[in-house]
Parts: sequence; C-alpha cells; structure tokens
Amino acid sequence: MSGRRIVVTSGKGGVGKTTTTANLGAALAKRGRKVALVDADIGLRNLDLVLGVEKRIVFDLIEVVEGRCQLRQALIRDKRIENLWILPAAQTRDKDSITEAQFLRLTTDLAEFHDFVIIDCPAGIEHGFRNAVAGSQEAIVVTTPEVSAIRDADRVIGKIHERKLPMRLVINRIRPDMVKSGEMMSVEDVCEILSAELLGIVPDDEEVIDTTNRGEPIVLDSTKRLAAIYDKMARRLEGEIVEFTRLDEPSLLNRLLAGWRG
Amino acid sequence: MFDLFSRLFKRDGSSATAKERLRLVLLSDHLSLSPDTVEALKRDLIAVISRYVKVDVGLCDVSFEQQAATVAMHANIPILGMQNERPAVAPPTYAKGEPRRNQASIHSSTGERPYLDDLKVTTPAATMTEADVAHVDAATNEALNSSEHSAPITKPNAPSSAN
Ligand SMILES: Nc1ncnc2c1ncn2[C@@H]1O[C@H](COP(=O)(O)OP(=O)(O)OP(=O)(O)O)[C@@H](O)[C@H]1O
Ligand SMILES: [Mg+2]
Repeated sequence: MSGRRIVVTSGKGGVGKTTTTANLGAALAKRGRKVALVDADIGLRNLDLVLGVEKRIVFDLIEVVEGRCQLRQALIRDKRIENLWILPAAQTRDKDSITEAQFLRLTTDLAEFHDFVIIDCPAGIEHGFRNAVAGSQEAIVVTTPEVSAIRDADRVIGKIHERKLPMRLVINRIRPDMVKSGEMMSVEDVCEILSAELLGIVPDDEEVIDTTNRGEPIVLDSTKRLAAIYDKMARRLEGEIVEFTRLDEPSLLNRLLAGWRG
Repeated sequence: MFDLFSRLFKRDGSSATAKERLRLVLLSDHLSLSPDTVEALKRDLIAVISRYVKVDVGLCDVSFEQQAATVAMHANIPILGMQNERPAVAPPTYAKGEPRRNQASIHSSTGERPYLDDLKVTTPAATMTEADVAHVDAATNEALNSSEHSAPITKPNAPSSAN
C-alpha cells in the first residue's frame, strides 16, 4: 500500500494550517481511512495540543530519524477516532535537525501503512517548508481572505508549482457578513487572484477555539456547524464532487432573529 | 435598522481596494520573481520587432516598473534600420567593419525615410489583414520617431478605473 502524502502549508503564520490538518485528518479517519498526521513544525509543535494528545508523547519525529526509536513507537493513536495517528514534532530541536531526504524517507515509510499522510507545515518558506514539501506529492494551501495572507499564499503556490505538485486551496476564516457588506474579499475573489482550485471554505467560527481548547477534533461531534464542512473537504480530497456549503444563506434561527430585530 | 443602514452605505467596502492592490502587488512580485519569464518576453518582443526593423539585439533592454495604477514595461530597443529594405529607398552603403548601428543615423542625418507603403510590401502578404497594416504603420512610425518605447501593461481583466 502506498498512501497519499499531502502537505498543508500557507506561507503566512497563524492562518489555520494546524486546524486544517487536525480536522481534515480526523474527518478522513472518521470516513474509515487510515491517516497519519505529521507535525513538521519542529521547535513549535502544536498539532498534539490541538488534538489533545500532548500528554501521551514518548518519542518524536527527530528521534525516529536519528534511529533512537521505531517509527511505530513514536506514533500516537487517537483514542476517540479509529485509524487516526499523530507523529509529533520535536519541541527542543532546530528545524535543521532533519534533512529533506530524511523527511521524504519518513513520509514514504508512513505512506506504506496509511492511506493518507498529512503534513502540518511550519510557516515561512525556509528549511522547515522545504522539508515538508520534499516529503509530499500534493499540497493544500491555506489562506484567509486578507491581503498579506493571500500574497504569501501566492508565493508558496509559486514554490509548489516549481516542484510540479498538484495543489488545492482552503480559504479559512471567511465571514459571510463582511463579504456581503463588501468589507472582506469573497471566495471568488481569492480564487481568481490565486487562480487556484478550491478544496474547502471554512467560516470564522468560535467552534474552532472551543474545540481547540478541549483538544477535540470538530468532526467528533456531528452536530457542530463545522463538522459537515470538514467532512465535505475530506470527500473532495478523495475525488468526490461535493457542492460547497453556502455560507451566505441565513439559517432558520438567524432569519427568525432578523425578523424579531425588525 | 442599523443593519440596513450599514449595508446601504458599505456596498463599496474595502474588499474591492484589497483585490485591486493585491492584483498589482502580485503582478510585480511575479515579474521580479521570475527572470526567466522576463528573458522569454524580451526574446519574443525582439523577435516580433525584428520582423519589421533591424534591431541591435545586444543592446536591447527590457525592464518593469510599478506606477500608480499599473506596472509599466520599458523596452529600450536600438533600431539599426529597416528590414528587407528596397534598395531604391535606402541602399546600405556603410563600409565593411563599420558598425551597422550607424544605419539609424544615416536616415536621420539625410532626412531619408522609407515610405510606409514600402513596408507593407515587405510584410508577408498572404497573412496581412487591414488591421495588420494599420498595426505595422503605427509600429513603424513609433520606431522611426524614437527607439525607446514605454508601453503600460494592463492585465486583461483589470478594471480600467476604480469602482
Ligand atoms: N475557522 C476558524 N475560525 C476561528 N478561529 C480559527 C479558525 N481557524 C483557525 N482559527 C484560530 O486561529 C489560530 C491559528 O490557527 P492555527 O494554529 O491552525 O494556524 P497555523 O497556520 O497552524 O499557525 P502557525 O503558523 O503558527 O503554525 C488559532 O487560535 C485557531 O484557533
Ligand atoms: Mg501550526
């Protein structure tokens, strides 16, 4: 078996790479795929925290590469979602503790017994980025609808094109109310500027902060607003053609509230 | 009520500004990022111009500069003379070894200019349309008046003005 190796990257920091990796990975696992999530942000590890497995780390990715433990020993199994595994980054090491060749080896090893290997890339376009990309065959670029995030995404897309990797876009933290009033660029605007194919649109939602606080993937609770969004993203990644959730459609509750407000 | 007001007054919000600014900055990012592309453009540009006039390839220079509403391309293309000139119009009479570049000054010093009709004749007739002829004329006029061109590049889908 040889699974797909996909990097989640953005250029700019803090736009939602880790959130996307965790929730997309969890959504794929919930659909029955075997998924390994790799935290490539050496020195600034976060994926473990977002997924609530921080207390269970014994070995990290660098220790695997240095041969101090087996790959399977370093993988942490998610106890809530079957088939979801996390390979944590080293917290007290530098980004250059691992080479591109070692990273490629690590991810191809993982792909031998996982359907998906999803790599949470560090911000920037330096060593850490090059490592993560070297280990991937496909890329997901995350951006928010802001000028600096989009400019950086454009830069990263250029680098990904140079390596001839197929790429799709996730637009995170969209605020439909602001798009409607013309204060935020729309999904169409962003796609046009970046001339990229869309994989997902995620609204700005406090559910993200709430679930991150608890260390729980959003898809764990199917009543969450964003659960369906990440599930659709997972299905698109698997090649299904899935309509995008319309964010500007007011929910029944909102319509009632609007009526009540007059 | 407040909602309605804010919607009425904010229809032309900052998103249009953001989009336009991004379009420009990305264009200039791309141009400065890819010397290969600039080199290819320069090559193609010289090839096209060379169909009409002889140019000094070694001295051609193409550069980009961000201006108020566009990124401008500056092309400095020294013209040596006309392509496929009819001997009757401007016989090349420079001596062996003399740089061909001087030919341009022969024209200007004698005030001798090839007729535009002559140029039409020398362009491949089979593929000429009326639009082509007009295009050649304009290009030639400009080439003869000055060897320096400055043409603004506008992205095909860029709005021509704000709003
Ligand atoms: N759709 C969203 N709605 C609300 N908050 C969000 C959303 N996506 C991300 N956030 C918040 O934004 C912050 C940054 O997210 P995240 O850590 O996923 O970004 P990152 O790109 O991985 O950052 P870094 O570059 O530091 O690794 C977090 O606090 C997260 O909770
Ligand atoms: Mg992160």
